[in-house]
Amino acid sequence: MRFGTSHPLSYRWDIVARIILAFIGGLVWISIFGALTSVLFDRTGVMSLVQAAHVMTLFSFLPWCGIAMWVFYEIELMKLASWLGVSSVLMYLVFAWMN
Amino acid sequence: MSDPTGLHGAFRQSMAWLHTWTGLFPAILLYFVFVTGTFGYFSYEIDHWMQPELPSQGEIPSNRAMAAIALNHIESNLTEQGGELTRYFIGLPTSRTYQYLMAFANLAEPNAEGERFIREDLDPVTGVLISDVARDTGGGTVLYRMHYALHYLPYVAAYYAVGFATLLMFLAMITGVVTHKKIFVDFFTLRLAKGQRTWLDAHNMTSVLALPFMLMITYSGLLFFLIEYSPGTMFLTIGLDRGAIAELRAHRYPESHVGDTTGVFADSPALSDLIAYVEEEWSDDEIRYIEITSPGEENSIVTFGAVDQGLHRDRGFTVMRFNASTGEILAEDPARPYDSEFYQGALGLHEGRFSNYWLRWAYFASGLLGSGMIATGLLLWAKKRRSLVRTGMPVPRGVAFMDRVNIGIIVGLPLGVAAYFWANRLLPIDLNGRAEWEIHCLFIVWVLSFMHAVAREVRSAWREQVGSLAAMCLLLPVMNALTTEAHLGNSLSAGDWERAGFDLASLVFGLVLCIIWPRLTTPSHGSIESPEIADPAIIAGSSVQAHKVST
Repeated sequence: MRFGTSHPLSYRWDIVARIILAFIGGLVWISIFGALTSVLFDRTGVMSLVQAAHVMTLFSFLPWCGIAMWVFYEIELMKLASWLGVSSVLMYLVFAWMN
Repeated sequence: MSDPTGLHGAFRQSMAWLHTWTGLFPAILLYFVFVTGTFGYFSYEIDHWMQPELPSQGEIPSNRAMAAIALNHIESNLTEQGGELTRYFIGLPTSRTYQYLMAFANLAEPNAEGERFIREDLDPVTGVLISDVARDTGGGTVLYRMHYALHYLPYVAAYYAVGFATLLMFLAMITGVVTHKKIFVDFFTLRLAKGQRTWLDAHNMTSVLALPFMLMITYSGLLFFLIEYSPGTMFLTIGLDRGAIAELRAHRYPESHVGDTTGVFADSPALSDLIAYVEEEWSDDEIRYIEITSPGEENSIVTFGAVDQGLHRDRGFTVMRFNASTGEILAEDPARPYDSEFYQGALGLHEGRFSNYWLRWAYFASGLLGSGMIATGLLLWAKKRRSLVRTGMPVPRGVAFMDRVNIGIIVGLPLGVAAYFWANRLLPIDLNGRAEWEIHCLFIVWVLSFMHAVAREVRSAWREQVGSLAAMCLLLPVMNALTTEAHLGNSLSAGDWERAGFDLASLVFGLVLCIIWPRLTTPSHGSIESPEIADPAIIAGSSVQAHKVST
């Protein structure tokens, strides 16, 4: 970490983008992941849809932390955004098809 | 890990960066939440101390006598105010809850003010309204409430702000564990008088010692507003409309007995007989509340709840229900699904209402350690950046400001809380909006603490504020003795340990601060303000240098 120096503007924008990606992207990702898993549990008879959605919401903060840690570790911002975006879209399509 | 490919170096370094900022950014709010929440573990005892006019534990009459008082009050006074009532609720004072009698009723139709229920608190001995006999105060309940609802802010904005801070703290704790390679060695390491190293050791020690508590308290804190903080999955699956929320509620709390209104009236066995039966059955448990649904009707249900002995937050395992018209005992509610058990267990762990006094003190101590962890983290951050003076690197702007802010946060808030207790004894009893003025005193003193920290040299500000806090704690029992009859001598002789405990705890805090205070007067490497940064000119010079670099 560069103590005492002023960070270049690009670095600051990069951090702002990561904050947005971690919060909004992370929350969207865990929501879709939770919804897809809930539907899978419901369809396979593991538990009811309400219970599955409740369980996935109860534990949603754990995968969110994992995403946030990854967002602030990975160097390539575009790679991050692509992974989160593409996986979210794919999961949502499967969820919509199953639902 | 030696992988250097992360955003801020190797994985552990990247996580250290994340730990610093997710801890630092919400630190002020979290410190407020922790300090006020820690007091919340003794909110009933603080309530009791702040209303010295109320009877002590030993003077409280039998449950039957109090239930009769409350029932009479509901059926006469509350019916007069609200018309038809669909549910009565009588809250009884116990050794581990509030010391007043609560009369509460649901209205069939909203009243003129649009309220759907009426609540009045009564003196358990005389049945007179509390507001007529005891001083108006927010008590410990206000401190407890502030830890999630804050103050001067809309409720929704407050719980979202607290939730955001809690989520960041949860992330800070996980990254903190990842960052510390030798977490158990850290726990046993405290190098005194080593400057920045001492603060790092103190931060690690308070963090590791309270780690299980902190993980539990942050995660369960997020669960209180689960759907508000993480609505996505619910939104996509069952929706967030009224019907969906009702479906979720029915899943969480399956109930087999619902007292719907039928309009058919029937005689009921005397409530006192049911109380006598329950008291015999629950020989070890105190009755905390009595609830009567559809009172007077043939399907009316009387529910008795005990003081929460179990982990679960609600009434799950401590309830006995009767059909009010026949006196027949009704079967227990069906078993809950395991996710509901987990949810209730997590909330129960957070609130700690099930705990006995020893465990409650452990909660309190853990809360103090949590506050200490945040405080040492703030000090460490400023100390680290000030130590750059020695290495010849420029100190970031804002560090001198943070030195002042740290004083205002770390000492200023406890000063404000002490002022809140003093205001309870000093404000005129008949002051209009007295309870609100007590809270204003807390925030006024807190703001004054910031102003004082800005106006004074850093080390003097620490010394003067910690000294003031020690004096306020030590003199609080004296002020209590000068202004009320519920002083330490009387409370000890009456065996009123709630009030005596408050005064004694205040004395202990004062004495601990007196032990800390001389260290703040002696410059050393381990003191809060080291000699190398005592001169504000050094900091100012560094700031100028940093500014030059940035421009």
